Amino acid sequence: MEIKIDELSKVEGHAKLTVKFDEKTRKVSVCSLEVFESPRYFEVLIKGKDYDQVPYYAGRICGICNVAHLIGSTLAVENALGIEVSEQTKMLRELMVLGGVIHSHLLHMYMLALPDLLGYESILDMTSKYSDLIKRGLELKEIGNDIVRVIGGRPIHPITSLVGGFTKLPKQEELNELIKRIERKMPLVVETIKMMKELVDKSSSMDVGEEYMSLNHKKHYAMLYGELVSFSGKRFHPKDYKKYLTEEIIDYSTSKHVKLNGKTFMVGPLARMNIHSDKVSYETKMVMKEFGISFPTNNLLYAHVARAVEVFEFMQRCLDILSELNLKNEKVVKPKRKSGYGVSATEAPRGVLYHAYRIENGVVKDVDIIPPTTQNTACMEDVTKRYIENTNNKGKKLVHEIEKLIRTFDPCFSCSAHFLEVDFL
Amino acid sequence: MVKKLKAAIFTFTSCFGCSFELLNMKNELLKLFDKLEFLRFNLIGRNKYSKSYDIAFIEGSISTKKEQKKLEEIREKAKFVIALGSCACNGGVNIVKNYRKNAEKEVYEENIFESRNVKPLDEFIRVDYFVNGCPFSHQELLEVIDAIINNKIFQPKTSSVCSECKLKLKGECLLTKGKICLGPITRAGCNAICTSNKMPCYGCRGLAPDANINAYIKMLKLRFKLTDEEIKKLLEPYGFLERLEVKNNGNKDR
Repeated sequence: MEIKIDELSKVEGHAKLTVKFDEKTRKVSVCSLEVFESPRYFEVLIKGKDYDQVPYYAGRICGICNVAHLIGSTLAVENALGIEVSEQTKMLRELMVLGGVIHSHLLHMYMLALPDLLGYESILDMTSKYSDLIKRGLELKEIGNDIVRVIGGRPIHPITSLVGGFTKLPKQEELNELIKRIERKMPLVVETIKMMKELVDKSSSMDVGEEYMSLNHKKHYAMLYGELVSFSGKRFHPKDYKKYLTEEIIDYSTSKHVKLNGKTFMVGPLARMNIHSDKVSYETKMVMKEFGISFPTNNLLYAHVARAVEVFEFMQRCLDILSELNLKNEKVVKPKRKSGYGVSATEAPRGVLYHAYRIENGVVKDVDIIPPTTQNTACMEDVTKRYIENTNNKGKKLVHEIEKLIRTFDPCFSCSAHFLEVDFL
Repeated sequence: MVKKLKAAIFTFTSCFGCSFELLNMKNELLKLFDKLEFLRFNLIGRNKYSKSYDIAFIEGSISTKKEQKKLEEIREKAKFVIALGSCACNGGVNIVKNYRKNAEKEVYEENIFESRNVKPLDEFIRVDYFVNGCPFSHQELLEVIDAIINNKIFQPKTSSVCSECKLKLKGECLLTKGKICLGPITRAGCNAICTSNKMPCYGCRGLAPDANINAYIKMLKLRFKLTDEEIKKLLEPYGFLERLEVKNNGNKDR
């Protein structure tokens, strides 16, 4: 049997999926998700640039998780050069990162996942029957953009954030206005959680595997600072990431696989919820209780629910930070040293993001970036394989279901910058 | 009812940010959907085949032979081609790669992707409209679409970012404060969004036709004591260096 689809859509970027299996026994011999085409050589672009220009370039790795790359690279450079920023800078950065995640999650839920869960090809086909729902999605998504815009000057590739601080601070009135806007939207987020839970419960469940990894902080639901923790209990400091994460070169694929001590794992909203759902705010716990949502779960589709719950949690967290902020003009902090090696691990919308830089005399000498989707690739292949072996679906239906499964991970192939084509052999 | 124009969005080497920026256009986006029928918008799951398009929006620069071929096919099928964002208009930040020898070998051990020098769209095809910026400017895109639909003339700005920045920053020039800013040589049309946020201009909109680049380089040397090497590094992204080299070498094959 030979099935061939040219492009998988509703994902960020392009990649290629090849599956070979015996139609009778359902035994899968090859299942490879290849991320390739049009490499952008960001490691090379950044190498040779001055340390303070790194975030400008790193942010441009990706159009949807640009804030995560911007802040992640900033933290790594600061780590390398011994820069300690103020509490205010940390709070503003957290707001930006949360705004970025809120925007990305809502875009995925309403514009990419909803058509799948409701049985449409594209949101463009839903405009007549679900126009209110689409408007709600666009309106909600705007909240994430607004947060990034107020702090960073614009939603995509924000401007004001620097190594060591900010070029310009928002006005207090803008922050007050933001608080009001977020508060007004909270009921719609609760509606969204309810909707995602109902839609997911109607769909059949899909086992994702057993190992997850996320950033972990003693006190709160970690996004920017903390150590790495896996579901099975492995712990390590971001600077030791190379000791625990192994990159495997696969002969059938040009994309590398990242494994944790040789094992496949998942990162992202489901992983975060599975590992530390006990650290969400009281309000979020109440909402979860109201709709009977609990983690951990191995059901991949609960990634949709995890995203919705996270949006609620992050908007609450933004409200807390915004009311706590008392803006003062501060100087941009200068580096303590000119050379050094620095690593950061942060939570991007799709999971843990690593940035590492070696800087000599203010100039970047070495770069290593591991985006979340690279870590999830092996897991996506495993899930696809298991699905094929356990279903009787054939032809178009099979292809469609596999696409849906991969989309549940919300893969971001543009982080490695590429086209996704699906080939079934 | 007026017949909707057939539109398509194609993505080449880029961060997909301009596709997302389109979705960020809020009310303007819904108005856009009223006027244009998107037959291809892969990000939101639309992939209808069509023999021709009225408008092809293209984001990203061209970095492989395969991309070049596809681009040429799109040109054949499209009445109007709009280069959307810096990568498509001037090579974006991707173009920096052209100045790094052995880029492929460093990342992938060998040049398995047949990746070549990164180039903007107009190196290969005729482009009808350029909507510059990283990401692009909403206002300019709306003006271009208005020009196409209503048969108007779109006049791209030829002056530099300074012309807009002066009105916004009211004399607080970043250069006079010791910050290296590419505003004087970068094409206007962004309403000085970076400099009015106190961030020096990185030049995302490319070289302004009216720019006096020789005077600018002289200023960098005198005022900031930059070496030739440092100036070169500064002008790597967004096609500045590429255009300068052509200027200096005549009809050099790019």
